[in-house]
Amino acid sequence: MSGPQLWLTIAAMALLSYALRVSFLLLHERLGFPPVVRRALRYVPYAVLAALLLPAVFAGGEEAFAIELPRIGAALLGALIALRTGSVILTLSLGMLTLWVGQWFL
Amino acid sequence: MSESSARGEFFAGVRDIAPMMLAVGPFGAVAGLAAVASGLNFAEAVALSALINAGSAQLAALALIGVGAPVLVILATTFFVNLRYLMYSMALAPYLGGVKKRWRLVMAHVLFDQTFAFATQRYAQWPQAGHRLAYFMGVASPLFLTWISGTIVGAALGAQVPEGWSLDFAIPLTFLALLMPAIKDRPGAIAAVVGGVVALAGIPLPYNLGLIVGALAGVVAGVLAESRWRV
Repeated sequence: MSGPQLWLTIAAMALLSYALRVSFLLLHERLGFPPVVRRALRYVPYAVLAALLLPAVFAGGEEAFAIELPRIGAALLGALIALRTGSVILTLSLGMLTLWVGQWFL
Repeated sequence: MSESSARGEFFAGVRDIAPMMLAVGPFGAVAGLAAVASGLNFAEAVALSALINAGSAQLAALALIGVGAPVLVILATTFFVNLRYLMYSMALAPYLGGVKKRWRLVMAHVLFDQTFAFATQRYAQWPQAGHRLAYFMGVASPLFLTWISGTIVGAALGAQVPEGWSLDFAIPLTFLALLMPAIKDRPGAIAAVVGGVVALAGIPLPYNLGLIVGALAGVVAGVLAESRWRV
């Protein structure tokens, strides 16, 4: 992809991303929400975070399943630490450490 | 509505997001490296992060640019990977009635996964705190600066990504750290489990549709579980 075409593509991607983000921040007053939508919104973060999370653990973001024990082990330990401590920094550092140790041995 | 408590909320946001910079900095670096590795120059790589501001969509687009995919496929992928921002926008909007329109235009650009997660948690748990714009910008500004700095470092290094380091794994770990402590009841847990499992089963679907289908399934499951257990 050449310069001008690439810049146009970047601009279009940026506009699209911005439109999705700004949508309800601007339109919400005019749209209003039925109660069932309000109830549903409470579950969006749980569902989306988990939907981002599990494929990244089990497939490394690729389009094929891959059971990689170090990733799964690190994720399980990370989940335990997150649950016990609620600390992002502990989850991240001990999770990455587990992954590296696991990759070293397996 | 004193000036000091707006400042207090801003720094509460900064404190909350501080640990996340350890994940977002390297993620920015990966985005910068991947852009340079896909043939983009330094300015293009940094523009990608500054203008689109959505790491997973950028990485997906770069993979497509690398294999010479048509622009329409790249844009469709951006749309699907970023569709969750529409949900974030929908979930945040009810809290932001008191925020001026021009500020909401700014907030939209720096609406990240982490910004959304921390802001909705704060607004739901401390509704009396007020100063919602201040908290949001306290979370979003350091995050955005770290993201751009990371991209600049990654793009400048330009060398091969040290894949053995598996820094990409910092991202799911970040999501884990946000998700696990937030689950407070059974419907929330069911929404997460169904969302994750359906997204996993949906990996073979094209254009990252598995993520969208999983998220929708999780939300529906959460609502159904709520009606079952709370009547």
